[in-house]
Amino acid sequence: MLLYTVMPLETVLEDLDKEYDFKEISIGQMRLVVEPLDYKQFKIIRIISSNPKDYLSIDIYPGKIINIHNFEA
Amino acid sequence: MQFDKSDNQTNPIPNVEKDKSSMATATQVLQQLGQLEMPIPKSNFHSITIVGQIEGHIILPPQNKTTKYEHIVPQLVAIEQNPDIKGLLIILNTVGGDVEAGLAIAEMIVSMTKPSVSLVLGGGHSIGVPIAVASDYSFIAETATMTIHPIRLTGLVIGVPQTYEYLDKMQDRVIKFVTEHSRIDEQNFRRLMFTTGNLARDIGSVLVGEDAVKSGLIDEVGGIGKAVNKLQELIISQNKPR
Repeated sequence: MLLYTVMPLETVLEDLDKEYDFKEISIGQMRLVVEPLDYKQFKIIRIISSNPKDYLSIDIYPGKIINIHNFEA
Repeated sequence: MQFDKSDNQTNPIPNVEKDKSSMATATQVLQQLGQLEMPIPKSNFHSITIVGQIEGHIILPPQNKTTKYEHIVPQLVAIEQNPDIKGLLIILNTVGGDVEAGLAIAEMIVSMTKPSVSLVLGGGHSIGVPIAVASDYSFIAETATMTIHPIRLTGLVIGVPQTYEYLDKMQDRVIKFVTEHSRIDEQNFRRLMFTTGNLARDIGSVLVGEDAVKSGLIDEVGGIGKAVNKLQELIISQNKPR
């Protein structure tokens, strides 16, 4: 990784070794990488889809918190 | 007294059960504006904001605001492919980030067939510079700044000449991209990059609004109004029958 930034590196990289507990779930045709917040709330981290339209969705985007009851892990 | 009436009626709305929320907004619109449905504004271009750090192959810690290239890149694919979208507006307020990810976004923007306009607000530093010049026409706000400085190496550094050569190669990629897609020449860009006495902790230079235009990096000083007008102009001229 080569960072080209005006921010001091110690600020950018502070807590870099933090471990994340991400899960992959399916919604329709899309697969999402999510971070579980509690038993039914998830924060979307990443969308995995080969349909470019999915990336323009106004309902699903990284950072959005979604409520899901039934999902396939 | 129309005002009192509408004020009283706003109160019960937030208590409406969640699954009826779409109905609630419909009645809310009816109560407030006397209309059943709000017109959905349709835009003929898409706007992408590039803010904070441009995140590369490693997830940056949560104190960083990040722009994720793995989301922006397919978004650009969708914009290129969707016939309803005629143009792209890129708004930048970035402090830089990953070289590969930044160049990837910049290359995507450059190779699009649809017209694009970029606007640097606040800042377009480091790897934000190639992204800003990647569009067909670029604007910078009067008070916005662009910092041009050499690339530094992060992580484990092995003290061999190859390390320096690698760094130099990465830097050349950025310089080549910027000089190819803006009016600035290589000599001038290198001079700005290695100037001393401008930055407190680094070598390099800061270009404020007009300076960026004078150096040839950015096309014009302007804000959102000018940027949108220019984009519409480019869209129209592209659609003209030849």
